[in-house]
Amino acid sequence: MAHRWFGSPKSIIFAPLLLALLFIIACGGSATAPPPPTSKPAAAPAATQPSGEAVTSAPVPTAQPAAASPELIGVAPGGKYGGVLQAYQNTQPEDWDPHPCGSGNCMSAISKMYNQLLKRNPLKPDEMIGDLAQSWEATEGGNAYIFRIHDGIQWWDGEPLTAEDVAFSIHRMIDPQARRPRSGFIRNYVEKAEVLDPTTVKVSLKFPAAAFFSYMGSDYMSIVPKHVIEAGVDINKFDNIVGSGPWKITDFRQGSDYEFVKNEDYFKEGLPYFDGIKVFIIPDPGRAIASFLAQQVLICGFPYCNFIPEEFEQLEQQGSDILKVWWEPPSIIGYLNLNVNHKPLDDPRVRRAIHLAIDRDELLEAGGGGRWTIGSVLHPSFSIGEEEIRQLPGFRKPKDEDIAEAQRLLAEAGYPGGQGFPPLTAIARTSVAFYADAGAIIKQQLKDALGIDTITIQVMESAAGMVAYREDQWDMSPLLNGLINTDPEDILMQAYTPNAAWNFSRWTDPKFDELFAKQTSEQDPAKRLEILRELERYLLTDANDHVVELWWQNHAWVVSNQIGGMVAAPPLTNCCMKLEHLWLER
Amino acid sequence: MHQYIIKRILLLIPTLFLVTVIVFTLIRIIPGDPALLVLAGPGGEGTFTEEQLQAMRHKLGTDQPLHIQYATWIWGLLRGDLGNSIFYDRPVAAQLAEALPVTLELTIIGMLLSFLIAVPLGVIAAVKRDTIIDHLASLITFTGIGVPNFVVGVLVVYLLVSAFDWLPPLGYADLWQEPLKNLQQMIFPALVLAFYNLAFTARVTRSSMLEVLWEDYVRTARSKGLGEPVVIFLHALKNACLPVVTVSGWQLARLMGGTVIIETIFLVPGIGRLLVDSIFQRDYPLIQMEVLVIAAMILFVNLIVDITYGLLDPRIRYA
Repeated sequence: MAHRWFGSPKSIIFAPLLLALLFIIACGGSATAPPPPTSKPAAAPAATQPSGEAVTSAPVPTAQPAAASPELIGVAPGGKYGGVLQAYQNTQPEDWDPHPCGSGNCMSAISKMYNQLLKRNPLKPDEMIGDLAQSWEATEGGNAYIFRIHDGIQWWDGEPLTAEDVAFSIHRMIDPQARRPRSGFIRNYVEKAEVLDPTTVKVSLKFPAAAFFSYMGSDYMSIVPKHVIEAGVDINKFDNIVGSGPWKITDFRQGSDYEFVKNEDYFKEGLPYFDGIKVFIIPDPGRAIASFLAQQVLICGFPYCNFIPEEFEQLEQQGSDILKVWWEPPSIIGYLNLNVNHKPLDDPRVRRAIHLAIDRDELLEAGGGGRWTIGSVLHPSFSIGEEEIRQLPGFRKPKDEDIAEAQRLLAEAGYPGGQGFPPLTAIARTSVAFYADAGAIIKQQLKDALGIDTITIQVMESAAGMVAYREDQWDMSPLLNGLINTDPEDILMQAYTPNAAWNFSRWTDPKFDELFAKQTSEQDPAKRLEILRELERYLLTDANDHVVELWWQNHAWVVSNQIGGMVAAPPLTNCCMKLEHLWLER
Repeated sequence: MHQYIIKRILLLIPTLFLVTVIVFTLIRIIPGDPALLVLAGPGGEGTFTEEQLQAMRHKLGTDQPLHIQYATWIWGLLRGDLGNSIFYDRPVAAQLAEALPVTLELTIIGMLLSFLIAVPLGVIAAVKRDTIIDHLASLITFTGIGVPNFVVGVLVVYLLVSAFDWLPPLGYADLWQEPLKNLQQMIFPALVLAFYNLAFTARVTRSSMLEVLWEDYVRTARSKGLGEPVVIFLHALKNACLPVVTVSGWQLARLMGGTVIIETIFLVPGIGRLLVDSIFQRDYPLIQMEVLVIAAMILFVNLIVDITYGLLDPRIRYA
């Protein structure tokens, strides 16, 4: 009897039925759609929305604030209130204090809770506009700036936000003893900040620094509450934060998500639009893509839309009816970093030979699939330009002449045909998938062109790689560097200056120093650009520095069609993270 | 029996001590400096001076000799102080208190599912030996054993989104506050996690059943006119399940290991995912405690299994 029972159709389908039941239970409710917006705003004419997604950066570096606008972004016609935005972030914030924060990962969370003096206009990303600042002026021949902030701004605890907070924050950013990976960039410029009256602050510079103004628009230069910090509160803990920004954090579940609610007392009347933002931490790109396609998440918790170009394209194709990929202009440079202290890379001829032998186009194709552009010292919008760069040795095609010259230089350095070339360790960190691929391509190119067959690629996870850099246990390494400011000085300070974060082997050069100092204090944008381009030509041809410029890559935002107000991708990977100008259409 | 249990509990102490030594040593053998990671950030962009690096090492205690660091940790443990997470500056105890129940829930559901499916599957396969049902069961079990669970996990995610345009809801829902949402989130990772164990247990059950089905006492039970379900479930399965119980302890260890990957794929904020993050961040205090807790759980379950084994089989008495 029991034998018959085991053989019966009932028993055969018992297990699948059980699974089906479990599935039905699991699928019983949908969590894909965020709560819908509930009301429309009162019509309020304000910001116009330029159409199109292309972004072009300013043709010359902004040295004076003349190009900036003091206008607040107002409520947009058609903007809708309500709903909770569900966003994706690939890692959780490692810091909650804006000044020690050193990555877009933490800043994308922090920025939503604070304000800077200035910001980039999300509707016209080339333009700097006031955030806290109502107006500003450069004085004393560019040696000082006076900022006037809006009246009546309050911290979340009801205390007024005054010039005292601004001056305190600027001094906190330049504190030489404190950890300031990005806010500390203004240490080079700022002498002091003085309170002139409750809404006016004067920032005195060490010299008429051309880049200072645009740095003050970076999210990293957030203004923090003096009264809270002076009371001994640690604002690096999320539940201690007292901000002024459009979003108040309500919860952070480590490894899972964090949530914001709208700041109902935000000083920008009518903003923000969403009732809240919920950011989900999704470390696996495959799962993140699936979540976009299932409309569980509607936007990247910018800037960490942690996809490679193929994945962005996959989303564009598979989700064409539900989302749009907004490509930024190039804002991340890829280069090969060389250790100028190690033999044989301490010989400028060897470095030059490597520079000449590498075929950038192969890397551009392999990594960007035709979307990346050729590497340059300066951002493409300030650079001497691809046309001129492609005429330069090392970048031009065909490569025969350059390879012949590289072989000659290598022979002159004592390694004819690569013979006797010492072993080199190339570190490829796993934090960027393409590092290992780029390392392998370069290794093969150097073998084919110069006969160098002694390069060992060591793929390391990030923590181990950083120790290798720090302890000088490396010879070369492919690296990426994301800009936080469109000013040309940003890339120079991140990679080329003697104390730059990515100048691991502390390469120095008197002519570089001279040209750098000259451009940084030049107030005439056109003259400054001339100096910068002279500096770029020098670095690309004669300097034989520690950096082999390879490619510029562009990042992208993935934005659901359910989101309104998105008119342009920002010009930088590290900016525009408040999302106060976006709304849910339905 | 009591003496045996007491002995086994006492034996846990040196075992756990050994675990502390191993985990403490291993994590420090891997290259990586937590102070460097804190200062430079996850991408390594941060700039800092040598003095700041030394100050951070001093603050974190990583500038101390290894034996001092170990003694400090153990002394803290004995006083109930699990330390603070280096990277998040939060008490380790608080982080474990959040993550551990999530993983326990996932593991328990995984274990239950694997037994609920595997035992009937193994019994059916044995009873219907060499039939299409047996072959089908073999196909399922060999797939489960052969395909790594992270592959199954990724396939399940893609199947759900492509076929049903649905995924388990994001953001962890507490079991007691939102039970239905919690079940939606847990059922698929638990199934994926259980797949290997299910397959293995089904194979073990089938083999054991095949052995006992031809035993004299089973034949006697049938000859006494007992119904087939009674013969199989009360007489045969009871004796056949001893090997199943034996492997369950080992299976728990495997399930705990599987959570590291599965929690990441299914976004379950449990101890496995926390462990992955803390290893990448070289968060020594957190890693040490996570491994210690996992080891303690496995030891405890193995103790329970051994005791159960004795209770199930009257022939086995440890005294």
